[in-house]
Amino acid sequence: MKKVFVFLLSVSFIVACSDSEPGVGGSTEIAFDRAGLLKSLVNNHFISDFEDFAAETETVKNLTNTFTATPTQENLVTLRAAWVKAYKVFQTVAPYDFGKASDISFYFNLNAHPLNVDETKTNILKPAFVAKDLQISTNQDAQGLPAMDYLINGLATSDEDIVAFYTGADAEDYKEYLTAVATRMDTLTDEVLANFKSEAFNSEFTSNTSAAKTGAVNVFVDRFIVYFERRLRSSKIGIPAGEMDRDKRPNQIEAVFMPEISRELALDALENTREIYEGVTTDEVSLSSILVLRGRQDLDTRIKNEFTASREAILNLNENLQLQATTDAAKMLQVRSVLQKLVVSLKNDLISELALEVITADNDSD
Amino acid sequence: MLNNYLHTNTKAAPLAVFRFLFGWLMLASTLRFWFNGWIKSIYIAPKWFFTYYGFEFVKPLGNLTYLLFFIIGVTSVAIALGYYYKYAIVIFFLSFTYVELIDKTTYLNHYYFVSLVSFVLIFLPANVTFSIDARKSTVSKSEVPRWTIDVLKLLIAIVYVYAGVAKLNSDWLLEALPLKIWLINKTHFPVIGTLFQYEWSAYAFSWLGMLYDLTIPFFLMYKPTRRFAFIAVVIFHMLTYMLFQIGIFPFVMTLAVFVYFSPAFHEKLIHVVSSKIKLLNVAKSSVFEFSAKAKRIIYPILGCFVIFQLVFPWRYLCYPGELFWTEEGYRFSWRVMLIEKMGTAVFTIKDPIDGKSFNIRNADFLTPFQIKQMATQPDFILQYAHMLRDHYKKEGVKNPEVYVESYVTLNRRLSKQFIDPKTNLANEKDSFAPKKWILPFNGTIKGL
Repeated sequence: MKKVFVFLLSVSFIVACSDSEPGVGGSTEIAFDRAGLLKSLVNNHFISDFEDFAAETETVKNLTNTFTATPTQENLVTLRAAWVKAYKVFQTVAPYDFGKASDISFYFNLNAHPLNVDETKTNILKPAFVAKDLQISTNQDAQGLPAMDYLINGLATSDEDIVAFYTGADAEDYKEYLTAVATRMDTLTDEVLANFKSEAFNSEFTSNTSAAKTGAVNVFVDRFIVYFERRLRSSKIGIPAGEMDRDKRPNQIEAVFMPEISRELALDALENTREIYEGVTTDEVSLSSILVLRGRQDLDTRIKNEFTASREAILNLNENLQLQATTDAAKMLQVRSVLQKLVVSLKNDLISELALEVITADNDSD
Repeated sequence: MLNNYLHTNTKAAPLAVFRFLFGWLMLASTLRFWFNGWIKSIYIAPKWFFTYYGFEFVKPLGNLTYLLFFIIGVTSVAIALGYYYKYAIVIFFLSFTYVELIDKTTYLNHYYFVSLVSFVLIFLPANVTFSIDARKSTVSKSEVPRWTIDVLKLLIAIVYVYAGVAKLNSDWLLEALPLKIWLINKTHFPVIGTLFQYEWSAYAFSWLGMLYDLTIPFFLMYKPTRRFAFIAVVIFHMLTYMLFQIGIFPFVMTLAVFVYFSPAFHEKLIHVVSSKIKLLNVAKSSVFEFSAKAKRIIYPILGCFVIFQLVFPWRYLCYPGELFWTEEGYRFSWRVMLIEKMGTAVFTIKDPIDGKSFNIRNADFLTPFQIKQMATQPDFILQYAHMLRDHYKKEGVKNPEVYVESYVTLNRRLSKQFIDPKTNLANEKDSFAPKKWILPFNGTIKGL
């Protein structure tokens, strides 16, 4: 008995005291490369995506100035095309809700939908309105891409009538508001981009390889999944189809005043989440490559298949999601269920496999 | 033979030291809860609470919870000092257990252990020496019946051995799960952290943990191995303390095993402490004896208690299906750190009158911690479904139907659907009977 015990004790001590170099043990590595993942995210996703988006908001801002200086149908059409492009590219930066983006509520300032139309109208015609008022939190749902949607698509049914708002009696008010909205989008985007490019953010983020809830990987994955679940699955598809209500809510789709682009926006968002998951270059450390290295081809394959299935499911819908929700919401709810499968794989399996501590209460376990 | 045993006496010192350490540890635990803000976040902030089956009468107390914790703290000190001990331990047991019963979300084996220990302590003469009570000559005794110390040793041995038996399964021993996926996040751990990137370290820890649990009480009982065993206890529990977020459990066990040490050791300890704290009186002589009436009450109660402790953890055998999956019979059985489980549960409320339905946001009703616990445990899911049913009844839905779309992953297996999505949970009754609406587990976990 004593011998057994002494043996056990010495084994524990050997375990406790050895300090071998990685690789010497020669057995399967089961850790994952947190630093590598963070570097890939910053270099291949955050910065490049935000640079692309900043270019779009800049264009939108400039074309807004052109349009307000010369409000013609032609200038409106040019501005609208730029806005559509910007909305599409916005989908690639939407999930990055941390650092500066989180501090300034970047997502909600740029894409709170449904737009608060009443508030927006009031703001436009309020004599005392100044651009700075958009910083007030109650104005969060009266600005950004949805407000521009209203201002360039939603004021009237024909372009002629829309332009009339910018040449009529209240023209100055409309111009002022449109300019304020476009400028603020650009300013906020530049602010986040500058933060993501800064040495300070880079070194702090990529070196924060802690496994705690505040570790950069934990925060990123948490935000990524929250984005997928709430913004992509629910806001874009589920809620308009009536997921959360007794009745459908077709007017809650994205780009409600130009609904024919709503499906495309959802597809772009999905494609971006797939790119984040799989990585965009072959040598990138991505969530996918980590799972494969850990011998979880089963999970990786399942997630990839679910991305494909999600894309096919969305493509099966009408490109106008408002119309889709109005005519056949059930079909849209089925798409929501397909997306939910992916939520499960990410929220259950991925988090569990990487033993990531996220959004859970601060408490003991056993 | 039993009669002889019951009449054997031994020094009261180990029992008194156990009481002393238990009291201070409980004070520390209470303060820890208080200063971490957990009284509010766990017992006051949530809107809904998950009561234990059969204990639905236990209600949250709102801000009075602070008072209850204050009482637990004060009685902890009284227990440590042996001051009005009989009252203190009864009040402590009731208050502590009440708190535990408020919400099973926070169920932890070691809190259950604390409740059990304090229940047993009610019947034991733990204040006859090394206490303020012992200043009264009628209380002061230097010897107690031997069984009063052995029952504590037995309780501790049950915890260890049952925890070890629970590890005798293929996931733990052959797959090193869930340690394999937990340890990799600890590669920054000083000195040994670098080992955790290798798979074999998870196997080593799994097997050592199993052997430790199964054997440590015996090494502690046997004098020649006791000192080494205690060193192992300290190393084991300090490692688990530093590696995992398991709160005071390591300290509870480390201090509890002192009771295995010899009376001489405890007398030395008492001597050192009581020379510093003059308040505590150390009995010089005389033997504590239970009155005939007390024996008639205590023997059957503690007898049944011990049998219950030995039998109750095996109740899972009465349920079909995989224990780790259904968790029917999982709690109160010393199953510690055995499963890595993660779930998602989306609830749908359906109005049968117009056929309309909608999903709910769990965060509207539960805390993140409650959501996490609920999503992997069928009894929580059913209870929550009933709370939702009652809530929407009040909101005007006549006979709300409640369905859940839930998926669970268990120890690295791909998530699969957990609860039958076609079962209207509003109509299912909770009971000890097997829950037929839990979908089968497709994998196999062999072992006990």
